[in-house]
Amino acid sequence: MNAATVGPALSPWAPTVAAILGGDPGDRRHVAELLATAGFAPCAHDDLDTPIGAEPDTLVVLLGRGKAPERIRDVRTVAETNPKARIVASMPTDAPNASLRRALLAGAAGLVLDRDLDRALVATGHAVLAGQLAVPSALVRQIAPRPLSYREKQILGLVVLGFTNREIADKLFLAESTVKTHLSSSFAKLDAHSRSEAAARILDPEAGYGVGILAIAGDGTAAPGS
Amino acid sequence: MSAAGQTDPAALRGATVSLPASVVFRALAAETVMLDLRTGRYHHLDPRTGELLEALTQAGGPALAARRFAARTGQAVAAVEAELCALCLSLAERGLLDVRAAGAS
Repeated sequence: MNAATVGPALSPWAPTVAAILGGDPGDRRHVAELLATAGFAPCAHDDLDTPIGAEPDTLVVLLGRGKAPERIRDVRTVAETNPKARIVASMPTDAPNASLRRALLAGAAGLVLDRDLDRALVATGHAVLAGQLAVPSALVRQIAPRPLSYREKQILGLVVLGFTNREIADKLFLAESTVKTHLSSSFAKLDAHSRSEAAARILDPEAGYGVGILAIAGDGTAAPGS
Repeated sequence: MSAAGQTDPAALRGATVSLPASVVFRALAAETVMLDLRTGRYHHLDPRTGELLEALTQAGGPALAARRFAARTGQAVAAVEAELCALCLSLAERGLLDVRAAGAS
């Protein structure tokens, strides 16, 4: 029987190449073993700046030892050097969600926290090779924040301009406690813990949502209680 | 008079102006930002325009604002007044300033 070829010629027997960059030799060896067990063909590289000739179906696993900002820089370097690579980056277990979002913007398609490498790396690698974005579930609010209500947008808009709760309450004819309640709710939606963090989530030039998320649809005559 | 439909800035010389209740502004380090709370839209003004806005809202109209601003900066009153009238028109067109013509009830 002649086998029909559909799409690009793929060899089901050729293991997917997984380039392992960064980290120390022990980390790379451990990850190579993990990936080899799952059927990948791992190869370790020392130098992040050297192109690895990655084809679209090549997985790049970027390990790290440093803090989140250094690892984000590494992701950017590798993404710029290997624009076709599907990058999975390990991130510090205590990395704030905003850092994880930055790592995605820097070019990672998958993120795995250091503590989850053993159980999540292979699955994440398969997901990004299938064209999916794969991130820790804790990041969901960073990627898709819940929509803000009319009042929350108004209040956050004033927070961004530096108004105090008292000033906001006066401006919007609300009790200060009501302002605080709306702020708590909007912080939860933005995955922020303070007014400065919320403002940064919106205004950060690199990874912020932009003030567009505060835009009020329609003619602005929504019910004041909304 | 509302400034809606008004096209001649000079006609605003004797007008009184005020910010609508839904509009706030803050002078930040490199710009002044106006926020319309009805729409959630921000409007960015360069530092010079921000100063003019401040003068305008404090004085309540372009004529007095121009005299005060000119006295402070040493610029010609007529030139500042023309600039303020143009600013009034521009802000009023965007719903960011309420303008009442001189003598209007």
